[in-house]
Amino acid sequence: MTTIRPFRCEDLFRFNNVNLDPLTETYGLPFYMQYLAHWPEYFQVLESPNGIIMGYIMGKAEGSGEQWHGHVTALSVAPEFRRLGLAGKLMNGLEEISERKWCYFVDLFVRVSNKVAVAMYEKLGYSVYRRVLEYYSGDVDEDAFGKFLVKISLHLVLVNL
Amino acid sequence: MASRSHVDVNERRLRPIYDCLDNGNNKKAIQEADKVLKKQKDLACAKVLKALALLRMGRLPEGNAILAEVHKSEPMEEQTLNAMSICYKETHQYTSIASLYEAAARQQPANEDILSCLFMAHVRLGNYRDQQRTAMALHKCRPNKNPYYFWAVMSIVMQAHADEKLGRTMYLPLAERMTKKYIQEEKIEAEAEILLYLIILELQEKWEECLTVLDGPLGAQLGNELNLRETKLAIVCTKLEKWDRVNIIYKQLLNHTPDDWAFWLTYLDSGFHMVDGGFVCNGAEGDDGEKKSASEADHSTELMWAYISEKISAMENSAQLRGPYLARLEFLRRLLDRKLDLANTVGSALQHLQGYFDLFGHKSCCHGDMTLFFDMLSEREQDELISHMREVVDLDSAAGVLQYPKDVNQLTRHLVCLQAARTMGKHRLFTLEETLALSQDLLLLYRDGLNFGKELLSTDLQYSDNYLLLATHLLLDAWQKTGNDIHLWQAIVYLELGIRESTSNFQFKLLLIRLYCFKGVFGPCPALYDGMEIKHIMNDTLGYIASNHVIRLGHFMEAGTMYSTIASEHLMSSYKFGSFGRIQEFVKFQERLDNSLQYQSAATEKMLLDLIMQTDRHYSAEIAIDYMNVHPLTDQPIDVSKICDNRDITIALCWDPPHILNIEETIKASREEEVSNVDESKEKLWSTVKDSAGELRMDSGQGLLRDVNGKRQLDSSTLESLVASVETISYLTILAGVCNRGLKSLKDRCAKKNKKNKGPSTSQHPVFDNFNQLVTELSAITKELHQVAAGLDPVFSSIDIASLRLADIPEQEVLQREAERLVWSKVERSVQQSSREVCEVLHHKQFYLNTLLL
Repeated sequence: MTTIRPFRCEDLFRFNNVNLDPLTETYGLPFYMQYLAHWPEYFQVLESPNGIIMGYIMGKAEGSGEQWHGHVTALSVAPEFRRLGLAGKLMNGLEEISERKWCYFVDLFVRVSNKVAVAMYEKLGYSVYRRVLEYYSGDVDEDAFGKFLVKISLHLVLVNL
Repeated sequence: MASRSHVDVNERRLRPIYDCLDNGNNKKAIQEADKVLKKQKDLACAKVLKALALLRMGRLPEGNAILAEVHKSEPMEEQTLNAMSICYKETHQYTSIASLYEAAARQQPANEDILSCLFMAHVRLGNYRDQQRTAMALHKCRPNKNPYYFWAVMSIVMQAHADEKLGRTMYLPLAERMTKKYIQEEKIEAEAEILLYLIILELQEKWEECLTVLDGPLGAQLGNELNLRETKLAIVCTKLEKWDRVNIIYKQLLNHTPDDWAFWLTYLDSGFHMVDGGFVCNGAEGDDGEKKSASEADHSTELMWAYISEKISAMENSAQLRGPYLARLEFLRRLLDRKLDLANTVGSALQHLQGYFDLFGHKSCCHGDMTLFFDMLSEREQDELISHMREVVDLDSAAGVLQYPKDVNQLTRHLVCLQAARTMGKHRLFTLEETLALSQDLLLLYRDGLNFGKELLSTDLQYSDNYLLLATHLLLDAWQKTGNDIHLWQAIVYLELGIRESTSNFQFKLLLIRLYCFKGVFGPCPALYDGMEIKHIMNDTLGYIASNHVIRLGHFMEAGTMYSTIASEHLMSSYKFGSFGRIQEFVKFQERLDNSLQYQSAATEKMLLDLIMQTDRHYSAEIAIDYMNVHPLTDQPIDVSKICDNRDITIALCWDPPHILNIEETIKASREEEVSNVDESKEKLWSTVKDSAGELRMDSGQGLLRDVNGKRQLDSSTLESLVASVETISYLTILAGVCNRGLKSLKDRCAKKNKKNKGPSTSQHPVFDNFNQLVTELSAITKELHQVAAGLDPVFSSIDIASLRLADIPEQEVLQREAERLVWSKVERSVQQSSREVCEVLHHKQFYLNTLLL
């Protein structure tokens, strides 16, 4: 049991238990602000009954023409609250918003080494469409994942994949 | 065409300068700019780019002189304006950006680009009135572009934010009229504009009007954000006390997401409002819609009970959600509060908590969920719950033999059970022996549990990590109870062991930093802090963990690197993207950052630190103080009432009972302590002067070690008072430097006079002798302190820190012994670093003092 609500600025003061996770990047303030200002509907936070931030998702809609799509910029759940299906819940919300915006697909990047996340995205129906080399600093590669939204006419799907 | 080609020529000529600037080659950029200026001595943009290069090289006076000259000529071409804004932005001269574009707009009142830059310049400064004026000019210029009109409306709303009284009587009604006009003329284009209208109505508490908007065609257009219309409707209906509607809205939302806690709470709130208020379902409002909804609302406890039960039974044979079960407990609590009979039917809190543990005990969040309802249990029931949990866990040691979990689920259940017992205060009833015994058992359970996590990545936490954390908490209980540092060092050893197995466990690192700082050992802390990749805003909320101790423990070099400032450019994008709802939020957020306790104390500490570090003669002290840009006569003192405590105190996991772990109280007390520090620091310098020099002398016999119960233990108080003395000496030395300045010129004049008079050399005025004596004394104290500091260095002293072994660790515990050796070598290195840095500072002071004798 969880509360999902739009992310607010003041949550930045309290998201440490999520961001201290080594695979969760902490960006400069302007980055979060930009998302809050530009794509507020894509920035959602999960709160536990005792008021702790459990996780959040941050995304956007971008691209033009047939490339108009939803993108997941960050998705993270604090260690205490894993194994509850929360990431899936956040992803469903993002997909719903993207459908409302007539996005053709949703994509995201994930480190190849982040096996738990990779398995989760595959379970949610995503598949790798591209491997990006040297995206992150260090020697880890990452995979780009994509998923086509259900409501899209099929020929578009085929053209793009 | 002609003018276009002219621009092209300029662009081509300027290109090399831009390239050099982009590559960071400022010197070459200046040369290139000079080359262009030789051909075209009036090309403003070339001048500005030269200024930019100069500014980036730190040659501020030259750069600013050029900027001032170009500024005066009131340039209007885009390229020059752009370049000048960059210069001003990089040197934080934001008001100049506004005046620059103001002048340009005067000359080209219909230039959309210039006006929108001017608007943004005002936004950056928070000049709401000028924002409004500029937005209206933009609107006149492009009457068909809606955003400009609404920029003006939002700027009016912000004026209401700044002046609440005028806001109610003038600004908000004006903003409302302006928006209404567009609605009536059907000119509304975007969801953002509807939301802005709602904001204006909400600020005026015009809830009926809000409801009309939300129920009408405009409300139907709100679809961008999930559940936005529904939640807004519910808020408005709550204000209007239309509980039945609120109840129905949340019922519908719960039908869709039965796990949402906020939805459940408001569902119950509205339901019980109807119960308490004696809701009569008669459709009094008259219209059909209301009547229908009234009949659907759960306005009685029976209806709510039926709804909750339905949600619970709907989960049979499918995924179990926590929400409905916790809602049942919350429902029961409210029934009991009101002493309603239905409580008997619903069952007991004990029974439901037992059931909850059976269902969800294998999830680590189970403890947090259950604690919400522990206060519903009597002490006997608490015991009963614990014994039920232990039964389910099935790990009670049989005949003194410790039992180990067989899988991760059993392990998690065991942890939840242990945490619950601790939260209920059971650990506080233990004797010292029981405390230590459980701690020892938990260490063994932790180690055994590592077997489940062999496949985990290094970025994952180990399943059994919280066993170890609990074990250290118990050791700290023992430490608090007995005051014996052995337990604390043992806890440090445990945590060092834990970090090896679970390199990314930030709970271990947070606690380690705290414990090391307790003992005056700062050396290992920066690496631990950096290991958590704490950056940007996290420095504001978590920086307190390390930065408060940096200076106190003699680690001067570290201190300079920990502080960073925060910039803001985000308001402008809210206007650009029309997310008006964010603007007030951003302004409040900025206020919280500007008034941050951590930021203010870091800024003050940094200045004090510079006075210690960057002063080895009076000239350098003057430069350091100049650089601080402090003007005691005109600077506004820090407004203590506005200080915001952004520290995240709750980050460290703790399962202590609520009456011991009163977070709010702790934060309040700590905030007061910190604020008084900030407030005092200005006077700190002066008050320390009052301390007599004699008090500074350290008892050099007092070393780093202390005998406790026949065992030698590390005593960090020596280090702390040494550092405090060094700070004082540093400030006193600077003050002596200031006196020297005044006295020296006086002395020179006296000497001249004496020469002129050619009389018998009159004896020197006593003030000079007194001063010299003061300097000599300070010098002597500095020397003494130097000796004490050097004596702390384990290399030069005979102190063998490694001999401080914890005798309790048995011989066969190879890993623990190794971890312990590591801890002591860290301590040794930290003390050594402290000693060396203190010596270096004192060395500089000695040098400084030597130049001060008259």
